[in-house]
Amino acid sequence: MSETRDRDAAVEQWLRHPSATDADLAPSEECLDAETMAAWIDKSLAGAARRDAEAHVAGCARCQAIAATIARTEAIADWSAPERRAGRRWLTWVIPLSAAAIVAVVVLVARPVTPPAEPQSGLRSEPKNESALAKSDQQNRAAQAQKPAAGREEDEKKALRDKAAAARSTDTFDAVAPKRPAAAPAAAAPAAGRATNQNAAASQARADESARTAEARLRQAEAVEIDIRTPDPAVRWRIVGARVERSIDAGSSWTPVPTGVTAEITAGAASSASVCWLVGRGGLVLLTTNGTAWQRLTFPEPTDLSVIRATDARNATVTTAAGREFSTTDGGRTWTRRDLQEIPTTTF
Amino acid sequence: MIVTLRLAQVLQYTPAHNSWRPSLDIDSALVERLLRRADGERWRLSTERFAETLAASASRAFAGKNPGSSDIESYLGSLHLKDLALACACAAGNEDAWECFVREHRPGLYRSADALEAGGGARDLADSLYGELFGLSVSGHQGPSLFRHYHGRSSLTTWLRAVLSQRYVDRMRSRKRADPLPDDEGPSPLSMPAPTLDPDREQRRRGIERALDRALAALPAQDRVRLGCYYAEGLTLAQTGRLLGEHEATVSRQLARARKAIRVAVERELRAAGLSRQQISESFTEIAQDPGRLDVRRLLDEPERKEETDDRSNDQGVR
Repeated sequence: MSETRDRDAAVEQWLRHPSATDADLAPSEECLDAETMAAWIDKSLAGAARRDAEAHVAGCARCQAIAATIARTEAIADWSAPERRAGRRWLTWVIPLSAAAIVAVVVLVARPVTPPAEPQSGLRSEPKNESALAKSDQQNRAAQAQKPAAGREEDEKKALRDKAAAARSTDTFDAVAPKRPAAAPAAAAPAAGRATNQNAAASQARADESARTAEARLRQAEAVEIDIRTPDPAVRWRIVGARVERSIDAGSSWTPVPTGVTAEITAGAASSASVCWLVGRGGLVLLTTNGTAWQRLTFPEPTDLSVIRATDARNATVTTAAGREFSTTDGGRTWTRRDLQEIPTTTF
Repeated sequence: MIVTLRLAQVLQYTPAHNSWRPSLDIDSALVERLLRRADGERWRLSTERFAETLAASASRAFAGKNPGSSDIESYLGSLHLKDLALACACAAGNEDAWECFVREHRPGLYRSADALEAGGGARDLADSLYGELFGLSVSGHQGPSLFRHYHGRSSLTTWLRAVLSQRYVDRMRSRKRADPLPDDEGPSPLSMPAPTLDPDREQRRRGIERALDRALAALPAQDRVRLGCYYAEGLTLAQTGRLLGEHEATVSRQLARARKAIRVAVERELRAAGLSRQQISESFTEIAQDPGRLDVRRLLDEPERKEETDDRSNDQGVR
């Protein structure tokens, strides 16, 4: 096992060795033109066109560099997708807000039952506030961007755990480090000590619970993957993990709309304020025509579905993860598989 | 009654490609329906003008093919019609459309440029791109708008970012190639001791590189894109995931799977070359500690491109 681990680690080091061919990203005749590259990134290409584009990008350092450059501009320049941006803004703020709320609750609960502490610099760290956490998060991201590939993957995987752990350690420190005033009567000391210990234990439990809540919120925040707009700007859908929610006030508030399924939902399309189609893994297709009740439709193959386009409650086209298309014109009662057109890649 | 709108009798001239191409028949009722979906009335876009735009897009998509009417209808229906109508109206000089473009897209274009170079070093690329969209050439003369290259297959936003990124990458490449070699302030090469080359080690390195090359070539395209974006381009898991439409946890899993596939393939090759288990382990570790000229980006490149790169490297070495 150790030998395998060592060799895996060695492979990772080979892959991370910096390239020396930056200056050799010469364009070729086969390079994707800007529109084909954009369509590939937007997942608008289908069938052979998508495969051709992907095969080219896989073997072309220049097109990989262009795709990576586009990806780097996305977080900042994603100006035409307000629904996704809103999701990310929420994600950006929910973590520090949750942490700040936990700190505030723990401090408020712990302070009335413990005597006020004398300020002693160096003995007690101040709890991180919201802006400090946000700043720290930004610094981490900036450092991440500057950091070479070494350790990035592990760092990223640890990041979520660390954020929650930071909240936990801050809370715990605050809870278990109360100070007794020096002038407290000696007779009261044992009782006060017991009370302090009990309070500390209770605070520790509350802190752990708060940290678990923060982790759960974090997971929930991370799970926001799909936002679906309808022609009515006030009505929107979103998928949070396996939960489907609907808003009728442009996203200010959300109401869960149970689907009765547990399979992962991968995409959705809403052709009107009340009609919405969802697709997911294992041939999952859901349709609502009233915005409240979902109907699971029978799909011909138990394959993973990745894209859906719908014009109304009867007409929809579904693309499988393998790039095949199925269409229905009768609200999902029957499906027609059709070969996709091949859109050739050309350069302008 | 269905009226077929024939855009040209036999051949159609497409300025975008400076060539004559076979025309496509597009049903006028379909054009009107698509124009309504595209909100074309907002820009007072005529059916004829929009039909030309759709025909140019379809002609390009089906170049060299003979698509049926249902194929054309399906293709046109899949386009980003509102963006296409906006681009079409901007290219036609519609002031309302330009106002909309400036309001909704231009700020993002500049934010994209700033994301590439925080100090504003890429702003001139955005300025130049904006000018070309308006129809101004580098020399300042009015010409056809760059919008003619947008055919609605992606969102207008992604297309703008793609054009900007393409120009940025090409500019960085030309800058690096133009950079003078660093002044050699060290001791003369003649006075330095010759590097001690261990022929066995060099042979092992070449063996690993060959095995790695073949292992990478055997991976599916998506795996190579993932490896290239993450390792060669230095994207984060989240950025790689967004690019490929995957969750970052999936990217992480797939990278681990690809690394394992590479390891197994390289081990197999080295075993076939007669190396013992211990020699294989030593080779792995040795090259990990000192990869030398090992270059994954070059290995990921297609063979013909790799040869070009090698040729250039050799040329540079001669010069």
